[in-house]
Amino acid sequence: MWQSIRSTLGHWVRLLGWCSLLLLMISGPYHAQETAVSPDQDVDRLKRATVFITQVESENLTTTCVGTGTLVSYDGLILTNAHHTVLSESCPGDILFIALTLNVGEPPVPKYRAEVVQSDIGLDLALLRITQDFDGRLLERDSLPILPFVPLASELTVGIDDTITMIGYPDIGNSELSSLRGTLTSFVAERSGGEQSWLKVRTVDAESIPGTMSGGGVFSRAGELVGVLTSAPVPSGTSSSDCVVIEDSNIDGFINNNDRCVPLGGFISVARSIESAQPLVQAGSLSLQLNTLTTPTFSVQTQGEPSISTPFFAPAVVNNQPTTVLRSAPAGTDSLFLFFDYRNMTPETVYEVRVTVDGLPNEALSLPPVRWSGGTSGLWYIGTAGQTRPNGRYGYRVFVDGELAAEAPGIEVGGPALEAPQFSNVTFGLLDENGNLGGSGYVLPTGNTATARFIHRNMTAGQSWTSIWSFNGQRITSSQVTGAWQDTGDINAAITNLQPAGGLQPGNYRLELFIDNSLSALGDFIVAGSQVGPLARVFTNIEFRRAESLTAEPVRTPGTNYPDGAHTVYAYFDWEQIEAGTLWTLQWSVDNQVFYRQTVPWSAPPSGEDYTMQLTAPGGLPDGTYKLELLINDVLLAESEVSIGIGQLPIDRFNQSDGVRLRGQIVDVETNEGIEGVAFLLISELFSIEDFVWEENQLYALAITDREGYFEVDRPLEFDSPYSVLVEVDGYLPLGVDGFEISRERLAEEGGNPFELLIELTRD
Amino acid sequence: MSFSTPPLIAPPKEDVIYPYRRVWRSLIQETIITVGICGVTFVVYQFIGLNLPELVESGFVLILALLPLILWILFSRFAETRVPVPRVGLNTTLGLSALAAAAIGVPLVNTVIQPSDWLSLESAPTRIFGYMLTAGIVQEFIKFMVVRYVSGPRALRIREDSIAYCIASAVGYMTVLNLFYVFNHPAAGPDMVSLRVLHYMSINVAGSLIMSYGIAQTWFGRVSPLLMPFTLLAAAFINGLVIPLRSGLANASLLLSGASASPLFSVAFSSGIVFVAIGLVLFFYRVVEEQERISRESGSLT
Amino acid sequence: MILNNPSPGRPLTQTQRWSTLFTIILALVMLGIGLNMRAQITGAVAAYEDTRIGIRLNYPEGWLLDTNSSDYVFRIRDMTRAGFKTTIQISVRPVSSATTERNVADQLARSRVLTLQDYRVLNIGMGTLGEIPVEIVRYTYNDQSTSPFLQSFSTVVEGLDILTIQRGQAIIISFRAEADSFDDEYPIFETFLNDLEF
Repeated sequence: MWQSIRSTLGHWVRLLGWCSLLLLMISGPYHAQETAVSPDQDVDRLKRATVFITQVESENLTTTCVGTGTLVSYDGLILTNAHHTVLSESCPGDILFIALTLNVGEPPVPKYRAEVVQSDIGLDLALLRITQDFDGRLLERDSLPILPFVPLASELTVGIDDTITMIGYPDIGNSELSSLRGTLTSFVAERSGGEQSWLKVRTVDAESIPGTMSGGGVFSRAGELVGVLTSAPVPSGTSSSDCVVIEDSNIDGFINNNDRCVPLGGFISVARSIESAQPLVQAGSLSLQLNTLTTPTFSVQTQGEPSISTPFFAPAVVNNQPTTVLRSAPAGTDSLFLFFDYRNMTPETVYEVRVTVDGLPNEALSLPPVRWSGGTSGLWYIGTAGQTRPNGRYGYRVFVDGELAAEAPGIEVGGPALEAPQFSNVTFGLLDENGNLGGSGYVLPTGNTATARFIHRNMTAGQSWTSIWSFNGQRITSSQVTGAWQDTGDINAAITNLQPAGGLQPGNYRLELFIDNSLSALGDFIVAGSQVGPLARVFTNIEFRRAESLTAEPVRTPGTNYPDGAHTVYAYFDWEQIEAGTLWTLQWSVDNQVFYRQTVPWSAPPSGEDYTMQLTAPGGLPDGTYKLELLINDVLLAESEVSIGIGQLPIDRFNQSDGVRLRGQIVDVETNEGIEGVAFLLISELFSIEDFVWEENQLYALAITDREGYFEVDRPLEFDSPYSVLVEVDGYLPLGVDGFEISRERLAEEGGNPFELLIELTRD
Repeated sequence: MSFSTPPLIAPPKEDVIYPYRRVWRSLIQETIITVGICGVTFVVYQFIGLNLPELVESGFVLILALLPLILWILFSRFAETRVPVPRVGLNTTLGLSALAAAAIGVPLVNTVIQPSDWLSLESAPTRIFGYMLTAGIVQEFIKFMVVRYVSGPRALRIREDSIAYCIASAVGYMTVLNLFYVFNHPAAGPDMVSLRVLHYMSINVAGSLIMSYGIAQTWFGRVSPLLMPFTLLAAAFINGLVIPLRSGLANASLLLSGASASPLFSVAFSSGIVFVAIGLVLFFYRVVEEQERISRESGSLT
Repeated sequence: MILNNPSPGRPLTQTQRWSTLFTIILALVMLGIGLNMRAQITGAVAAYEDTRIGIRLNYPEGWLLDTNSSDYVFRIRDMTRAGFKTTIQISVRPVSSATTERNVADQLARSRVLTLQDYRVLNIGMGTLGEIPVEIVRYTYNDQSTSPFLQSFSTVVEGLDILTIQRGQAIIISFRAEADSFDDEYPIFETFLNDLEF
């Protein structure tokens, strides 16, 4: 019998062999699937946090503006430009659709709608919050998933020539996300943002950055958001190359020049520094709302066309004032600022500064068309600091709304330092009995006399000099003093006084100093408030009162500490002798992080009591120590704090962007098909699987698979943290492991983020 | 008239003709070939990565699902026609078993009781007893009822008849299980179908062999009336044991690198189970036959 | 070998008869035990008590419990279920002395229509929970996967709210399950309600 079996077996084995060979021959070539994991973990994260924004008119759902934005918080805050998101004449849409890059290499897919929650038109920054699903369904804060986001750099950590990455959408949403490597070529200083107001950027291969990338992020090598790519909005009546007609907006059955042209913006070469955006993001992330309840009695309105005047150069800036006036600069000069007066400007005004060196355009020093962030009128500066300039003759031309508004006299950089006579560093105050200048420097109280002190160099006895004071833009001719310089010996400081008839009235003052009829230095100061010693008492009696709700009356008793929390806080202060139109700064911070800073013209009566503000947040103010600061000319005049709850901002455990992004697929081992709706439970490092009693607060994260079995853990895992993983679904054998711990080294070995898992489940 | 003493010669030796199909031989042939084909298919697909055109693959998968039936027809049913005393009613047994499986067994287990849904997350002993008391008992009881009321007792003439009918019933049942699997999992490749075919063959052949022993002994031996229920219990227990053990062996361990299942263990386990079951039950049959032979011989001497 | 010639069709012996009977009985008994085992496993419960809200209940063991939300005071989900996770939740809302269960139902419908996709009220009726008169609202909506980076179809969910006003607050007990399996899952909710004390 065994012989028979052996014989039969041999026959069948031979047959099987031939069959196998035949199968191998007719089978197609086997291709091993390669995993395409990006070696650069940062770029992938940054791309997922970059969104495409489409502004749409609700009336006929036609596109009005497009741009890029960056998710800066897990709960749907998007930082972008204001010019393509905030309702305006050129962008009249009232719906903002947010599209995400679901798969790198594919165009964005619309997923949500957003609303503008914070904006600064002048800085051209807007903060959006995702509030609705794509279909208009409201998304409550709890129902929004944890979204990938990029943290804002706490301080500008990039330097000139550093490598940066710029990410945005290169067209109107047809193409995949564009990630451009580049370098930071220079910083441009502006009065509104200090020395690093703007980041001049250039791609590695000098490729143009399309205007639709405006609002996109500029990222440091550490993956932090350091700037917002910004191009000015294209004014109406622009050439068709700067906008595209894509829809039949007038519904006449044709798409032609009569339809709305969606502005694309010009090529981008500059980014707004992230420091300007931090207050917006801070306020937005805490959902803080500040309402001024005092009714304005005066409004600053522009009268006439914007104008620029008195352009001159200064080597340095102190308290927003030029130190001196330059006509030439020695070789090796690394700081140079163009100052000018401006009037009738608005946040919608677009200005541009074109710089030439020996007649040739210098892109690194120029500022492309951007929005105006300086208010209506005042003294402005733009320039660079700490960046050595090549020798040559520098020409600066300022354009406003595309028209040449001012051309500064050229300045020669090069040669040795000249020993020319010079005045500099004008400061203001009141003289005490000993002849010392006291006060805050740039804010003086009302009184009889204003004294200015300035530094002089290389002055020779008998040299002609002139000082003249101005009040609210008008020179006080009676204050003009012209004379021959008297030798003061070793003392290089001099003083000059203003004693107007009727005393110093509240308002803006300026002192101009001339040498041989040529402007050598100037300084601005503001007179406000009453005199307390050498200082001005402008703002007094800051008080805080709590209210139980947005509409409830505040309690009568003021307080500075509300340990049991507060829904709304009212802040009050008294003020005296502030002239209407005087620029003042209101700054709020929580735990020393500024969330509101506005410099606006004073619009209340000159003196009064209980200037009222309401600080609130939906659901109540978060715990923290809130500080109110009142400034004029950047001089702090009054401040006060109020503590809410524990007096410290709560730690948001979801606000973590660094770590391991875990995703993967759960498949049926037999069919190799993804299993939909499987829960991937990531148990907190505090519990093991044995300790897990199916309570949600034991979970670090929970992910559910999609129709192809893919899942994504929405919170990044902390490195070297021993989580437990449990995968249980009816019909399959469970899988679980304790000590699921991923180190930085392991992540690097796997090719960086995201860390991918393939989980095969077995059926009985 | 003449008278001569007939010569004292030994009577002519009786011809040793076994009139029935040799069940064990057929069963072993079918099992070896099934294990061979399924094993080779699994290895080729899992480790070499064969990639057949879709249509060819679908056909191949169907052939795999029908493989036990095809082999049974080749080695058992055709062989039955070549013996002097063929067994009757094998086709009916197989067909009714398949019908009962399709109409009662599989829907009852997969749709009504659904043990895989509520047992998958339980402890190992619970899973074993759970499957034994649900899937195992339903499957073995249906096959038993088909053999008992369709084939026997009219067809049971010798012990091996019990095996033949029980195996026919098992082939019917496992074919339905295979087809259900293939049609419900169209994405399953030939490797995974081979794995399932082996699995269903192992539980059905093992269960039916055990049950056949109980039937055979009840019919042809002098045993307690509790033996047959005991063998049903044992057959169900084998089902309860094999189902979770097989998947447990194949199940993955979750690591940082993911969780890759090990279906190769499943193939080896299922193959092992069917051979061990054949060997064990064959041994029991041999022992009983030997005891009977000794008993018969001692009886004839006395 | 000797040719066997057994006689087919011979009558059954007593042993064979009893054996067959025992086998059938055993099979049925075993199957019964198996079904009982199933009922025990699927019906296992865990106890929960919240003295602050004043509820005591038993819920299916192995369901994920969450009590840290502003929307509800108690929620359990069957996380081992593939697809939409069958959910039972209890939420409370402040009411005035003039508020009726019907008012609460209308408020719920208005708020849900803004947040749930394709939310439709199927019917509103009266009923009792034990001795307590309650408002019963049946509704349906489409549930979507929350992650924007994953691709899932909407699931049609059927829900049932039981509303009652007790001790100056509206208590809303909600049961939600995939519409296709709502009826299969409903006994779980019934068991839950039977054990609920508030």
